[in-house]
Amino acid sequence: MATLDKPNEYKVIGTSPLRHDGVDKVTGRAAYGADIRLPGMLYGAVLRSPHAHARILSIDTTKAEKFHGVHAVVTASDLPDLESKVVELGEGVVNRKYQSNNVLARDKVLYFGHAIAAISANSLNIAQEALGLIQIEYEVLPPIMDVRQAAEPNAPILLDEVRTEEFGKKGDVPSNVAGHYQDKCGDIEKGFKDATVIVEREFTTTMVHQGYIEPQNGTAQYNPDGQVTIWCSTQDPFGVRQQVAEILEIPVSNIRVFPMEIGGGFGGKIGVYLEPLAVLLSRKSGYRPVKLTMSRADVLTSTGPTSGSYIKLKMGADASGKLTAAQATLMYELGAYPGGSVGGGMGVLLAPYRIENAVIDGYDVLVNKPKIAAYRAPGGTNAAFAAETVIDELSEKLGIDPIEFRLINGSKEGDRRVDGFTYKRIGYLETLQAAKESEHYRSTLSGPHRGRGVATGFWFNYGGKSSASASVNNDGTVSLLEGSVDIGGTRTSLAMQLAETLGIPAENVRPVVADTGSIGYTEGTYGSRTTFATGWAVYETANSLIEKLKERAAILWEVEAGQIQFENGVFSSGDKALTFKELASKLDETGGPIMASASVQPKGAGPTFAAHIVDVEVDPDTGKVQILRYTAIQDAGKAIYPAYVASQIQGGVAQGVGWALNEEYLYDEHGRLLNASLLDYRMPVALDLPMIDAVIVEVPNPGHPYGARGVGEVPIVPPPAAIANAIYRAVGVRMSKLPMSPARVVEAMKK
Amino acid sequence: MPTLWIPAPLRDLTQGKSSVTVSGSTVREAIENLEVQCPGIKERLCEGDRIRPNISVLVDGHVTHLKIRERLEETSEVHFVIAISGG
Repeated sequence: MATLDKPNEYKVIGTSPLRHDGVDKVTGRAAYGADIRLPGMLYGAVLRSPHAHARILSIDTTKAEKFHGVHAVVTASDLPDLESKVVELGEGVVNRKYQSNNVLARDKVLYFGHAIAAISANSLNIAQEALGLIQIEYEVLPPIMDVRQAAEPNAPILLDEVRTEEFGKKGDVPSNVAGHYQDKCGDIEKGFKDATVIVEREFTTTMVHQGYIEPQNGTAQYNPDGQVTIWCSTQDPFGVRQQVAEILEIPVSNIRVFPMEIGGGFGGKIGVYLEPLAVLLSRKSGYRPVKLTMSRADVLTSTGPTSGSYIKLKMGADASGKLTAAQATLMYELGAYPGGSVGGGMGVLLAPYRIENAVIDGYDVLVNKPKIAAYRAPGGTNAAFAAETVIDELSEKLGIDPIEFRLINGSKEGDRRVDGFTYKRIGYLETLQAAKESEHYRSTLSGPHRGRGVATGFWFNYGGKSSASASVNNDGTVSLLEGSVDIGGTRTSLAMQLAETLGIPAENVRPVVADTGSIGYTEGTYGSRTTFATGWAVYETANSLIEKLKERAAILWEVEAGQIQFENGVFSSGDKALTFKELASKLDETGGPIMASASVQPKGAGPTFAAHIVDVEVDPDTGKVQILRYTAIQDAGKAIYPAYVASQIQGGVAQGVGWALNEEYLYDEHGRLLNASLLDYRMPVALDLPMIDAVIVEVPNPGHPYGARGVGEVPIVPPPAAIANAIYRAVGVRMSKLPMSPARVVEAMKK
Repeated sequence: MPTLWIPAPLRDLTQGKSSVTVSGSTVREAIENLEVQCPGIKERLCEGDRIRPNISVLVDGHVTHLKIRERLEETSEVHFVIAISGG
């Protein structure tokens, strides 16, 4: 790991203190959802559809209900039959009817693994055995698994009420195309006329899963007074509260959600699956707590993967290397219900480049696969796979170095995007320059069937609502409560921002991730927002504490608060001075405890760019691609905890490599998932990856007090394109389908 | 006056213009004045008295959660984009 830029101007930020949750995590004391044990707790199991597309004609639960040890059986008839209504949920929106139908299918199952019923029992074995006693009569319908076939006018329809929506206008006829979007600028025909070189390619990618190591789980206690407590693995405890409230029509004030430690999410743990079922079962089981956990197979068949896609892209450049035009069609799988990520793909596709003439059409399409969920820079990786390989081909045809080609066309502050808005301070050119000057890029790669590829990526990043509160202890430490679930080390990155502002060591902050009853509303840990937005809340909280402590110093020294200065953790007035710790020890004699809180919704979450360089070796007989060396350069704004930033980069690259080379959902002709285990769904393991070098570029974000930008999502954007470009240089074939598995590489080499 | 950038699917209502300058001290006022110039466009952007839930409003490059209530400066640029969620 390396950090480029000037020396660190901070005392805490930019250092690597011991992480506050480290000992608990490595000793196994940290409590995850599966660790929950409550008195009288029952265990739940879920019956899932064996069909990808079928009408439910009848469900008979009589035998299951009578089975010894079973306490309750629930089906969609136990859920409120909600009307279609789109509601805002944090960064995005959800349709509460579709959310309910995804939790338990009502009249139709829309994918293999779609939940239909749930049972609570004395043990998991009893619950699972009783599932087999539920009798369901289906009318099996033909599944639609391909995004282009699903978009055909005569395709079998998944949801009769869905019409194609186009910015507030709905189509007249039922369609699997739930949405059509378009970005457009300039004169596309003129742009292509001005081009010396034009490249046009088609790309396909398959569904891939977020692959978090901890399966979903949810435990709920429904009290006779209507109060509900939920313990679960989620990125978004307030979102769980809202979703359960919407689906079950319970007031949010009756629900309290305790987020447990989380074993990964990557966007896949924002929506609810088990939590409403646990609440329903608890209510129907004599108010006993009920715990549900997913198996790996459940996770793969029934929780949100990310979209597979079809992308057609045509781009042109003139002889000087200037991009003149781009035209693209993006079709993304939604899975079973509306609400997709093609908008993200459209926004990422040409984001790194100044381009005056462009048209991008995006389509969200229903298919008989699980309802997609967010996955790190949702939609971005598919789009960058297309754009960054076409960019590579254009640069090759013009005889321009691929990084130089990007520098010629790269976006900077003040440039207008295809979707119209202009960039503020961004670090794309700096990131490219760091890639160009890196030892990796300047080194020689030799040997047969070896090649080097480059690709870049973009992600928007998000702000959103966050809250924090802090209290000063008389030993000089500060207890920090914050509402953001800690997935990637944010306890520490937030504690560091508090410590920096207060002028105390990070170790003197005791950060706690609070439940929804203990902290103000905080959006989920998604959108690369936590260090930025909750960091803002922490910063405001710290400043409020400083003001209150100034008042205490003023009491102590019998002066006005306005006469107290605060600098580098020291309060002073004239020749009197006290450190933060010394003043904290005098709280009792100056008025008692001090605490402060802040709730924020900051603007200015600066976007992030990345540039990746990869060396590969391709086995010409088997098609296996070995990653020899990988360097990921990324603008972090100001890296609060550089080692965590590097970890985010390395994690994103590892997932991107899996997406590039092996991971894919494989279905049979009936729409049944064939590889619902980690033996068959091939994620990368340590042997597949070299040490990933992370290079942090720091172009401070003017929208954050310490210059932080979100870093968690963009590192997954460039890897498939970078690897495809490396494969081309190794064996001379342009890859256009993901994953670039050995069989696909061999097939491409034979053409 | 603030400039409203028109999403491509709505440009049939603005005679193909990609941006329109209208008066207005809030997004609401600007949309209402835009409606006078380009009848039918408000309904595409709004659902009743609020921006459609799947549309994000950006003012000067920043997503605004105040949406229709966001205040505008004379030089403000307003964009309407499909809401995008991160992971």
